[in-house]
Amino acid sequence: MSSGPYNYSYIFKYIIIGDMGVGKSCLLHQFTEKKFMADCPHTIGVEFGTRIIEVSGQKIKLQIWDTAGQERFRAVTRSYYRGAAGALIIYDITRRSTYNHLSSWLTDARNLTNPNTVIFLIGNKSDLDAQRDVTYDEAKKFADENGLKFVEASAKTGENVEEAFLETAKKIYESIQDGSLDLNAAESGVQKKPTANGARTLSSENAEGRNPSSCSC
Amino acid sequence: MACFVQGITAYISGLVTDIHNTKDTAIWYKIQVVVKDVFWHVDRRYSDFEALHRKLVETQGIPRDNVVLPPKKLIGNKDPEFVEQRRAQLDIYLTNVLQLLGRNPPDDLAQFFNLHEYEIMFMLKKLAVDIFEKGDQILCSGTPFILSPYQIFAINERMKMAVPFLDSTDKRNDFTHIVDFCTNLKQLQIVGSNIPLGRSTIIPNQYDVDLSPFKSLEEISFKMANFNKIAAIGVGRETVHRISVQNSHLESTNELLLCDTVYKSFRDAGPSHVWPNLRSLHLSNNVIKSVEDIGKLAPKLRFFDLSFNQLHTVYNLTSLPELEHVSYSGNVLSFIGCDMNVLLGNVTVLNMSQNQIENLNVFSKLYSLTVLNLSCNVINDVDEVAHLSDLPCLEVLILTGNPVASTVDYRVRALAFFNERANDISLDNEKASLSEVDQISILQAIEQARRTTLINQPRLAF
Ligand SMILES: Nc1nc2c(ncn2[C@@H]2O[C@H](COP(=O)(O)OP(=O)(O)OP(=O)(O)O)[C@@H](O)[C@H]2O)c(=O)[nH]1
Ligand SMILES: [Mg+2]
Repeated sequence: MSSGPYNYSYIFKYIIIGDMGVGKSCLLHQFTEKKFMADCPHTIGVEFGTRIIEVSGQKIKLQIWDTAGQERFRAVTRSYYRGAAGALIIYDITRRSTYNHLSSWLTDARNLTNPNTVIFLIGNKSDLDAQRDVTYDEAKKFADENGLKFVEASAKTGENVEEAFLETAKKIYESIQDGSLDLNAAESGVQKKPTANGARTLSSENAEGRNPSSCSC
Repeated sequence: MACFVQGITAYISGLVTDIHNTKDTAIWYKIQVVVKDVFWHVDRRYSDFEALHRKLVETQGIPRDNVVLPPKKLIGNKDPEFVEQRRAQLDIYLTNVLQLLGRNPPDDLAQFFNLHEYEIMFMLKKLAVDIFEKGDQILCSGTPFILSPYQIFAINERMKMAVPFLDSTDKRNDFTHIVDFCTNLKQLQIVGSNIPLGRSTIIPNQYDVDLSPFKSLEEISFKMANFNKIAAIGVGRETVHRISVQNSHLESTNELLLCDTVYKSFRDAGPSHVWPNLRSLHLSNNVIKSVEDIGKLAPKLRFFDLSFNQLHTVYNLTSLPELEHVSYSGNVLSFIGCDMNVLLGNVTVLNMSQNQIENLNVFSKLYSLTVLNLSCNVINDVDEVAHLSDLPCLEVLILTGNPVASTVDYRVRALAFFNERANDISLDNEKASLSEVDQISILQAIEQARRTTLINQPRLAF
């Protein structure tokens, strides 16, 4: 089956960061399970999720680390930044304080990831427009100034969730295509899927790229 | 737990080689590697030290002045005084190398100390490479993946550690691959042990195991595990359809099915504790003394194996409408107080072997039964089989290992009770032979005649 967990040619690693309660775990859950978790407990340390997506005809497996926003886990969560190909920084459009902390999240992301890491800013809870505390324009300006991609999204309705994760993957894939991201670099956060026997030589790389494992299940 | 972050020390605790035995040529040193509260042994020769040193010089830029290997000596290297002197020198070498590189051991050093077998960071690196290369094939194959409690413990601990994953250029050993694999794994088998791992003091069953990284489990099995140490089995509630807990000191079904409640009693049980897809529950070789009415918790259960526990009686399982197979084999059942159909409903396969059962009257109304295994009980009297004669679906009956099975004409007499179905029944794995068929019809004819006279006699008496 094409949606099976074995059919892909690249692995991209993501992290999701931002203040506690902004909806990081809900966004991940919405993306992987297409469901909203109304009573999601605070994340302890880190959580993990995975999904296979398609970008420009290529199947890509996303390995996504969802980190705890609580300060007391900062030491642990910081160790998950290294080697991420994509970083999603989340704030809550109904809580200004979560927006005000963005520069500190951004600094962390810049310092702890590699220069090619795609950083995507998400203003979550767009369904709560009536309680909005941060305007779209203001956040958009912040994103532009810092060279970030930006959308407002809702883990509850699912609006723009898919788009944010896919857009990030697309940018990563583009930098592989144009050669600016070196697949073999230790911290690129990108890997080719292992070949079926795990022992194929580099010369067969090209052939294998377009021909994902022909698993019968 | 052993994690190099806690600091490694190592010293030569003795010789493996008997230096007085002239047949042994090389001297093997027994090295004790210590990480916090555990240690293990590795045996190395001088040439292993040399090889290590060469690699460390190449890749790590030693020697510094304080890390020098004692020189080679070709003749007389088994002289006790020399051996002792060299041991002391190698000890110092180990101390110095670890001082320099122990905080972040390079692979060569890790290999020398067998860190990949016992130390969680290196253990997980190795596991990550295996999983990166074969993980998809394993997921695809549908065969269970085996992990030890110590490995799962290592995964749990690693997730809490503030240590980045990428400490080398090899992305295959990224811990993320392990967690990814665990997230997608459907069949997990946890094989515990109460004896130390390899040549270490690590006893796998002493470690706490948290199953929360396993989010897609459909089948989970525990073998020789320490059930008290296992947390978050409930992670599989929605998805699991088969659970097996064997030789794991499980005391009750609640301990398993209500694993995530505080008191593990039915007062706690609510809709959130249901295992909606659980069909098969194998709990053999534990210490279960009673069985709760688990219908509320596992409404779809079909297969329930309670063999080799400590059950004295048969429990009511009629709250399980789909139950088909039940095994009470190898318990201590003797007297069963009421008809089994009241307890077991419509089961089709029932294994009661290896108990203390003498009477079969309680089986007489299990009308759905097709297979009944009563081997190795204490059934003495062939007339007991008469109680089974009205079971319309019965096809397989096993009575081997009972005293009755060695009595005269046992097969023929037992089968004769089944009247016209006698030829359809497989008794002790065989249907009636041609000569048995003949004898059975003779017996049945005699019986018929006897009954006729019995019936007619009272009439005559009137
Ligand atoms: N209305 C609305 N509520 C949301 C949305 N996303 C998350 N929430 C709610 O916000 C709360 C926090 O969400 P989480 O996903 O747990 O937040 P988190 O960022 O993972 O928090 P930590 O794990 O503590 O860092 C939950 O109660 C969610 O129900 C959304 O898009 N709309
Ligand atoms: Mg969270």
